[in-house]
Amino acid sequence: MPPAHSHASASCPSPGSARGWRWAARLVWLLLLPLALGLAAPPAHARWSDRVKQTLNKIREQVQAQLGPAAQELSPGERQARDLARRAAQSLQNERRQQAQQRREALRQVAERHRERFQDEAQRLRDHFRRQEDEGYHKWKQARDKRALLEKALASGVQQVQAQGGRWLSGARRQVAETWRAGVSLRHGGLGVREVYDNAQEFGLGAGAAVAVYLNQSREEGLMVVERSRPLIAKISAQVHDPRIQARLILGAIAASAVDYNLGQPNPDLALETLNYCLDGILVPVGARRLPLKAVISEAVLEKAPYLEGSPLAQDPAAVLAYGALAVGRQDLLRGLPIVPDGRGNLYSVQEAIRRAQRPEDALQALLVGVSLEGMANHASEQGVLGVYGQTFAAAYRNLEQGF
Amino acid sequence: MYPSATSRPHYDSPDLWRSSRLLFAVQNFSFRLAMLILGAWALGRAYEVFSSQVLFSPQLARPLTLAVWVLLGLFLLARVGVLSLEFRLMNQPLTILSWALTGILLLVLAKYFMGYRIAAVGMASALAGLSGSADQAIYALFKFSPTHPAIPAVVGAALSNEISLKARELVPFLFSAQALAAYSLFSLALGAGFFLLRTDTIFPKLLHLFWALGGVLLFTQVMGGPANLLRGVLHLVRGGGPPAAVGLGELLLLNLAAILTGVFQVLLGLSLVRRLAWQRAPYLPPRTLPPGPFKLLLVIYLVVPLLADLQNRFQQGPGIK
Repeated sequence: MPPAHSHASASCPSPGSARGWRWAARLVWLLLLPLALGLAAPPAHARWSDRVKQTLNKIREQVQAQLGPAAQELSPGERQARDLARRAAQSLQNERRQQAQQRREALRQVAERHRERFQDEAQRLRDHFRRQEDEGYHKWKQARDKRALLEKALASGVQQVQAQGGRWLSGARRQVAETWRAGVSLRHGGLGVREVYDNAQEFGLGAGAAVAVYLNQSREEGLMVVERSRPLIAKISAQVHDPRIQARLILGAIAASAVDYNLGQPNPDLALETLNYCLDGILVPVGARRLPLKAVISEAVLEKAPYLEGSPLAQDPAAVLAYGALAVGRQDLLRGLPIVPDGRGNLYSVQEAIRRAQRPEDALQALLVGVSLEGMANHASEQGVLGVYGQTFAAAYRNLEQGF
Repeated sequence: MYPSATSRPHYDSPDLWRSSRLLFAVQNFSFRLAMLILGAWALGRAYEVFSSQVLFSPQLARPLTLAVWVLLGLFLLARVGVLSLEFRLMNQPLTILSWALTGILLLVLAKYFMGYRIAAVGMASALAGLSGSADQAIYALFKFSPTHPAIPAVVGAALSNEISLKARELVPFLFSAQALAAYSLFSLALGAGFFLLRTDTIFPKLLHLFWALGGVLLFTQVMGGPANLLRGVLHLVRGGGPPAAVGLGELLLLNLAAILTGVFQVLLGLSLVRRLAWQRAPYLPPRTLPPGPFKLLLVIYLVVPLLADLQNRFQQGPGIK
């Protein structure tokens, strides 16, 4: 290939030529030089900066040397004034600094005080609430412990009472039932009327004398009582022919005679006196008349048992009551004996009075009359008990006198 | 700074204690003495009943009765005084509610007092074996207060002493099977409602609930099915309704059971409210709360009957002079 382009390539450098590479290397060197200098010689750089400073100082000194005489040529007054001004400025600055310092200090102290007070208050409150919590917890715990103790004691106590009470109750009930079944009156050591009657009924008519003996605790007196009631027995035998009813009536007559005999014995008993007074002294309004209570009772029983007329029993209300309870029937005493006045001239039995009562107070009084009647009939041979039942009777009857 | 928080609580004030010491002394002394007299009365009366003797004549019963009533009045006054000193403590709705309910219960007991007197006569007659009087007393009780809490006790005493009751005469005063069925349904709802009172006592509530459930099942059986049960309850107002397969004796026993259930419910409700009040303020001293269910049970079945018995003997007067 002829060198057609050699002329052109020699005249102007082209990137592909050797001259082009040379220029590129120079440019690179130019770019890398400061970096190479900086990396290679930092002390030189320091020295250079010192030299710059020294140069600048020299320049300033020369400038001052040239301007100095003019600047330093102040009059002493001016210099004094300048110094005074400088000192004043200095002292003012110091004073301000000091004041700021004091203000900061005061603020710091105030803040410190506030912080301390706040911390104290917080601590006090914390203590207070903790103490309160502790107190509450303590009280709660005390109450809980006490309650637990109480409940435990109560539980064990209830168990003990249940166990003891069960044993005691069954024992006591058995004892009481035995006492009643045996018919033993604890007061007199003898038998009550009703129990003797119940026992004697099992043995038939021949036990009448035994009843009397039991009631009087003496064979002679018992036989005497039987002898005294012999006319009455004859009358009953003549009028009543059913043998079972006859037996019951005769037994009742003998027992009532025994009661009559007992009550006739000299035995000062205030309660009995009270009963007698009550039976004699209470006047019951019957229709238009006013009869003594004794007469009312006797009349009511005699109406059912006409054969008692003329016998000594008819004169003794307690004996009549006992007879009514034993021979006529204990339930009939409350059902069939018209004894409770209604205030309008009518008499009602206890049961009827309770049925008719409008107020519970009246029912209670009628009930008390019934209890005392039944008690008197049950314990007709025991003077003390009879008297107390009689007192109950008298009081309840007095409360009922105005009717119900 | 915090006057309400830093001042000492009211009840810790020694001045208060000093001033209320007299009240406390009066309260305790009068209550204990009254209970002592009542206890002696109870023992003596038991002896009287079982031995047919008389220990307390009306002349002796008179001062005893007066003393008991005066002592109980003193006790009530002192109790009210103590409570008013501590009113700032018990000034909470639940405490006040429980006191109010207890007061209502006491008023109801006062209303029942005449019945208690009849019941005392009936109980003494039943224990002494006076069958006619016991019978009449039970009749009078059913006639004048058929819901009286002492009825089951008197009837139980009479039955245990082999006294036969004439149940046919009591029929007009007994609650019908329909009414008892409605009551059993009510009890079931009440038993569920008791669980809404959030106390930590579960046993009595469960007992009551199962008891009421048993009652509902029993009456479902008695009335012949749940439909008949509901029909009977609905017919309750107009009367009539389906017949119940229940005899006289059973009806009497169911009435007694209903009365006992009512007592149980009243005591349980009172004790739950009281328990709730105590749970709200466990730091309260116990005396600021009304008496608990066991004490109330003693009041219903021991104290008031003894008072009624005492009053009976008291009103017999000194006799005829």
